[in-house]
Amino acid sequence: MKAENEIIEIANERLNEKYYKIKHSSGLTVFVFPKQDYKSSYAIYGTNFGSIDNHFIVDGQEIRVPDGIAHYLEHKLFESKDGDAFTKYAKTGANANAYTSFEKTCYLFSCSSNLEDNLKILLGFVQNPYFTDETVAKEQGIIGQEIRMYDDSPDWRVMFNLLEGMYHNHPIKIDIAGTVETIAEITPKKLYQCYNAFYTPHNMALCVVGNAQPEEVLKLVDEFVKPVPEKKIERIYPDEPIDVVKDYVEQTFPVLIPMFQLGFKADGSVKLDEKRAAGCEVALFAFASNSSPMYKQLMDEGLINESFGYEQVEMNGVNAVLFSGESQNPKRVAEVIRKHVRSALKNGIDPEEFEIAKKAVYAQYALELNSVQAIGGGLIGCEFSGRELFKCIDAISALTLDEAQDMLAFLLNPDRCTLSVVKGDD
Amino acid sequence: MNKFNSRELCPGVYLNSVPDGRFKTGKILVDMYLPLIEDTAAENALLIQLLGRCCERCPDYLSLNREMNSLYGALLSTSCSKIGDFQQLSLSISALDDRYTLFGEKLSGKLIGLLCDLIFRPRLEGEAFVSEDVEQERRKLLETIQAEINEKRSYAISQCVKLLCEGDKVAVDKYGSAEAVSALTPEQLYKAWINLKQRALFNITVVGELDVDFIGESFKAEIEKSPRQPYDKKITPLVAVDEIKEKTERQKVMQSKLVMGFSLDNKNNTRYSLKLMTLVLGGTPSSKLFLNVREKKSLCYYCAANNNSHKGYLLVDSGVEKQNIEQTREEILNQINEMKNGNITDFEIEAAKLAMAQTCGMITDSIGAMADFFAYQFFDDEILTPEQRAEAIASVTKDEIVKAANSVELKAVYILTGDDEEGEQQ
Repeated sequence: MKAENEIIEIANERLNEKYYKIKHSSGLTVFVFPKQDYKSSYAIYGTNFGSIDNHFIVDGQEIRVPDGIAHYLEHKLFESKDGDAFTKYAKTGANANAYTSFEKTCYLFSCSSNLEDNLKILLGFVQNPYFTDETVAKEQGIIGQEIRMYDDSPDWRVMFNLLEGMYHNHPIKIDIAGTVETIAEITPKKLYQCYNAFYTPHNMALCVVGNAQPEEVLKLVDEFVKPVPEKKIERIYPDEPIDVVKDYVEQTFPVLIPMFQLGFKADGSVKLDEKRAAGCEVALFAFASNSSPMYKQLMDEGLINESFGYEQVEMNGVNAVLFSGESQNPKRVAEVIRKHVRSALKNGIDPEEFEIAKKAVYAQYALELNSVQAIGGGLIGCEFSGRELFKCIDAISALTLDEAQDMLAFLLNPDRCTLSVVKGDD
Repeated sequence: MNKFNSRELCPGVYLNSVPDGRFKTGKILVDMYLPLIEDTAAENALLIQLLGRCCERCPDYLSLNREMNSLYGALLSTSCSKIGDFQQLSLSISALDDRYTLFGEKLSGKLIGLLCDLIFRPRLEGEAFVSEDVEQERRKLLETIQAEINEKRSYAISQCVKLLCEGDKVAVDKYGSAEAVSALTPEQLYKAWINLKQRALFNITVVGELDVDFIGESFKAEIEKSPRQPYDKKITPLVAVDEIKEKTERQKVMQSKLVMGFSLDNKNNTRYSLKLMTLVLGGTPSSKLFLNVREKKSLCYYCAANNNSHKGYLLVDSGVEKQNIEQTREEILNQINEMKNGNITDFEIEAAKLAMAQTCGMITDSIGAMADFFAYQFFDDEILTPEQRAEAIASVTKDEIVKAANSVELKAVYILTGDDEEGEQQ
């Protein structure tokens, strides 16, 4: 007897949108977000498995895998006994890709017709791993080239130098693709171990957005994704002290203008629900947007340019904020930012800036609802973080100044930060 | 099918609109075209930054940013690029659609007013821009120029274009030189602004649910205050030389870049046959370059072809290990020869056509892609919708592809690579 799929409709009246969240009988979470009058569709199929998941216990067995294996697995999954998935997509014309981040691996495509055929390809290759000694060895070259390309990217270097300066033990400090040495240790057996542990329906989600309806998606999921007993995965992360490793790291690089990242380390054990996540976003906008007092001082002193920005980083065991940009004087930038952090913690966020920030952050979410790709990315990100997309949007307009202030204090501690600089030889 | 309307408001000023109620935002894009010449490139590049910085009504960047953020974080952006023989200065604004504001605020009517304020009423001191504004924007532009070298892939491509098109307008740097930027005066920039109003070609593109007639009338009323003598809307094709120019540049890089520049005959081939030829060669994951140079021979991490339909040239760019440069170069030429000899499978052609049809279908669901798609056709004889473009590409025959391929001739080879010592260490 077939188990039932459980379908929930989730709507947002203000933005005139709705989507379906389905707990499929296999254990897979499926999202279908129809976009009225859109011609195109976007599908993203992801597993909650990324570069930081390099040590885990599954079926009572403790496993340590080489750095970079999640990314390697992503590359290899495209191959199957009957050819690679790109060749199959070539017959439909879909624009297909995949990526691996710190905490997830996602396979995706966009198309403006043939949704059913494309979904079959996507579900088919992700469900059917095929790793042999020969195919695994062949990929070393291409991934080695990819690693070298990142070695030449100052943005990438400045970020990983920063993470090494901030984190003592957490695997966030390890390059997502690993190193030429660690990927040499990858074997078909290790790839299958990871696949069998993390590529199970309970640990995955599928989102289909655009010109799509739940019935047609579910029909294919029924066909391709079979129920398997839920596996208990225990991810092991090393203990991480709350303090940073060092407050300054520097690398010389052939750049003409120095690049910097200033990272603030917050308590990584705290999980952010919708309200707290909204608080973080609004507080950071009020604190660091291009109309903030901090931005004004940095600009007036000639310390930053348009490349200045900030990003909140959140994953298992990590909460952090990174400020980044180009500057002739990164140390002074760090000093100014820290000074403004102290002042904002002491005096509070300006109420007027707070109201402006709420509207701007709300509009950023509304803007994302234009794009099938942004919606798909948003749904899968929310799912793996334990949040719901529309609740996140509603939490913004409901947010109070005190709540935002609390999150600012949570995120930014001027005594727990690291400055990373990449600069030329002189 | 998208509704698309285009008309000439007054000499040299065009208004395009794509009315579309599906989006949460609306966008107005103003592109301004001036001849790309060594003597004026720097002043125009700095001018567009000054126009985007402030105006009489918002006399500093902070008050302008605050105004934008109060309009639900409306996004204002400026850019300077090149298209054929022209320097393209762009100013765009996108904002939340009135239907979705939290308290029923109407934002749409304010957008064109703000754009007109920025273009036609900048902050001036007599017949000059304000020197403190000039100094800040000059610093930012110099830093942008310095940072270009950080993006190795785009840096290598621009160096190859310079080599290939030496002596042609398209070889001029879009920002001019750092020396020229350093020497600019506030008076000179004022003259550049007067010239912009009197002689530039203006192309306004509006996407979303905005009042196009109001936008057109507002802009026309402003532009007609200046005596107009617009530049000729004409691009001269590249005149190719009879030699192959070669240049090798050494920097501290782990991965080398090989960029090859080819001339094309864009008089006796349609832009659609040139485009399809380029796609079959190296425009998709099922192209000859991707499948053979990257996948089969594992010579490089990426290898892609792009053609410039306005000037008539083709670039093939790749990221390779130093020891593979020569072999990659041979294999790229080999793949082009295959095409010249008609060794193209039906599958390769169909895959490229399908990819193009899918891409065109997806454009219509993105507000930004749609604005760019129509704006990019400014210099073309006829403006096509995405659907029409896909149809035009679909009707290209194999013979036409082979004919287009036979016009491809190698003219320039640019290599960016590491010093010898580093190469040996690898």
